[in-house]
Amino acid sequence: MVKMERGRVWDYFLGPLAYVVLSVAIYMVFVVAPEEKMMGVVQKIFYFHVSAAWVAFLAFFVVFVGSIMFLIKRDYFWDGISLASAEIGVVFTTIVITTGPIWAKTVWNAWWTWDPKLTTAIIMWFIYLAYVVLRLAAGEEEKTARFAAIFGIIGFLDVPLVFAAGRWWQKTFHPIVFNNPSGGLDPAMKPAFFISLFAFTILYIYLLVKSTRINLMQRELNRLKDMVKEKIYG
Amino acid sequence: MSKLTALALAYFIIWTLIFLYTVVLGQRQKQIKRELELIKEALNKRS
Repeated sequence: MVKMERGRVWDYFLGPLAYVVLSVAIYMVFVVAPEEKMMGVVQKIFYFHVSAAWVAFLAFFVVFVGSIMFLIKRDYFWDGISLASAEIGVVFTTIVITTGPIWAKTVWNAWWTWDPKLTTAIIMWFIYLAYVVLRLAAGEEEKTARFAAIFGIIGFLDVPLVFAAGRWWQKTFHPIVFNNPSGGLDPAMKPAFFISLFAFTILYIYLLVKSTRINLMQRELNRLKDMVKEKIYG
Repeated sequence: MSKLTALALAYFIIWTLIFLYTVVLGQRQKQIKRELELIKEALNKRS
């Protein structure tokens, strides 16, 4: 209950903050950042495409940590965080795998190729979609949470593969942004890029706090419903 | 598809998905709050 109340305070603070930093990020991307010479205006997809990918990685890492913590402590707070983070991760991975092909079609004239980066990314999306669907399935609460935690730990094995796919398998046409030996991002684009990353991170934290609080409220509701059932039917 | 159309489409998808998820969260929260209040009220009346 204390955790729920604390969550409400953060909710009021993080919501407006996310709104402000996202507005600044949009301004930086469309007004301040220069247009890329080869790709033109469509390159501006990059800023939020990569930020969404970062949030997805972060979200699945939180699922991984939350799952381990749940198995150790058996505290449903961690289960609530894991479920919330998996949902957010799926939403942001959906953004990544829909905006990527739009960008690719205009620049490389191909919607999709089964190269290692894209293939591991779509597998990651399916893994966490399955995780969220699993949680919707009715069943004994403790058992479902335990099974989901194991799923959340094993499923995370794919996440480093997605990140490293471009470096490990050279065949990918997907550009490498961080530590690219052949250059990387134009310095004039960096402020817009890092503000976008920051804005999406704040948005992620806001959604995580809100969604976790809802999951804890749902658990409280289920507990009260069981109490009522017990009172009525003995 | 022109580059500008592609950019507009991508940003439309980004903001629609984020907006929809926020709406879903808000509705879920409202529904749970309503049910919680009803149950608490019923439990208080019985005791």
